[in-house]
Amino acid sequence: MFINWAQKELNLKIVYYGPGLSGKTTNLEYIYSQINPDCRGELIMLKTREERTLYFDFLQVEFGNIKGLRPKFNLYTIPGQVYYTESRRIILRGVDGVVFVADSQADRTVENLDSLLDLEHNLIKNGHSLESFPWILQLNKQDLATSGSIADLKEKLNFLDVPTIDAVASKGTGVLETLKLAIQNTIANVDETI
Amino acid sequence: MVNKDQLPSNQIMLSTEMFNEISAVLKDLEGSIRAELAIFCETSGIPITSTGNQRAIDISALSTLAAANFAATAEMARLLGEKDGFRFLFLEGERYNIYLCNVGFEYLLTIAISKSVALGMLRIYANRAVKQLTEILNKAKKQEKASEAIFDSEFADLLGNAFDASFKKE
Repeated sequence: MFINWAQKELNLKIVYYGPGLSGKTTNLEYIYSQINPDCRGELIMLKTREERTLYFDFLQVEFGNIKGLRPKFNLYTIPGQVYYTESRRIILRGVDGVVFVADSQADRTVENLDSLLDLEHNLIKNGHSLESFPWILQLNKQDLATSGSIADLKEKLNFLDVPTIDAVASKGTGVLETLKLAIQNTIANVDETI
Repeated sequence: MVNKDQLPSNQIMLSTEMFNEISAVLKDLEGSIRAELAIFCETSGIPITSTGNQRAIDISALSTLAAANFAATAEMARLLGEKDGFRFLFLEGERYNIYLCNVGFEYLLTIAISKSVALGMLRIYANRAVKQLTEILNKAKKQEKASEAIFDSEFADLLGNAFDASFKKE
C-alpha cells in the first residue's frame, strides 16, 4: 500500500494468481472492457508470440474520491506456467491482495494445487503467508462440462475457508463480483494492520 | 514522510512536505539536462511524482514497466553472482534514451532523455539527484507518523458505491 498525501492518492496492488490458462488475463480484459474509460489506465500485456502471458498483465483502475483520498488499484496477473517462477516472485513484491483463479476442470486439480503451493511459497518469501494474507478464490470455467463439482473444488482448494466466487470469465460472469470482493477483502486487511 | 519502520512491511506513507522536496529534485534534474521525462517511483512501480512532457503518456503504466524491467535485471544480476546488482539500466532508442537506476532499496528513478545528451553527463546529473533523493528519504525515516483511521466502514461503503457506479449497467 502506498499513500501519497500530497496527491491524496491511495495505491493498492492486487495480483491475479493461478495456473496457466485458468483465465487470469481474461478477468483483466473483461474489467477493461466494462469499466468507464475515465476510471482506467492502459491495459498492458506482455505476451509471448503464442499469446501466453510472458511476464505480467497490468491494469490500473480508480474509483473517484473517497473521504478525501483517490483509491487506485493496480491489478496484475502472473505468468501461470511452472517455469516462470522468478517472474511470479517479482510480481508479488508489495502485493496487498490476491485473487487465486482456479481452473474448475476436474483434470486441472494438480495444476491448481501446485499453483496454490507456489503462491504460498512466494508469499513466504515476501514476508507473508496464506493463512494471514487477504486472498480470495475464484472457481473459473464453471460452464464447461468437464468442470468438477463446486463442493469438491472447495474441499480441495479452499482449506483455509477464504471467500469464494464461481465464474465464467470468458462471459464476464463473476468477474466484477470477484474484483469487488478482492478490493473489500484487501481494504479490510489494511484497516486491521494499519 | 515515509514511515516504513512502523508499518507492516509493504505499507508506505508519503507526506506533502516530502513530496514537495522530491518534486523539486526532479524539476531541477529536468532543467539541468533537459530531460523529456523523469519519474520517481517505488520498486513495485507505483509512481510517486514525475516531471517533464507528460502529455498522453500513461505514467502509471510506464512506471510499472520500468520497475518490472529493473526488477528483472536485478534477478539477472543475482543469477550471475553480481553481489550488489547492476547500478543502472540504459535503453537506447532512435530519438530518446531511457536511464533507470535505483534510489536505495525501495525506490527507482527513470529518466527519458534526448539522444543528444551524452551518457556521461546524464550519469553525473542522475547520480546527483539520487544522492539528494536519498538524503530526503533518510531524513523522513527518522520522523514519526501517527497512524490514522482511514479505512472505516464508511470508507468501505463509499468505495463499494463508487465501484458499482464505474461499470456499465448490464
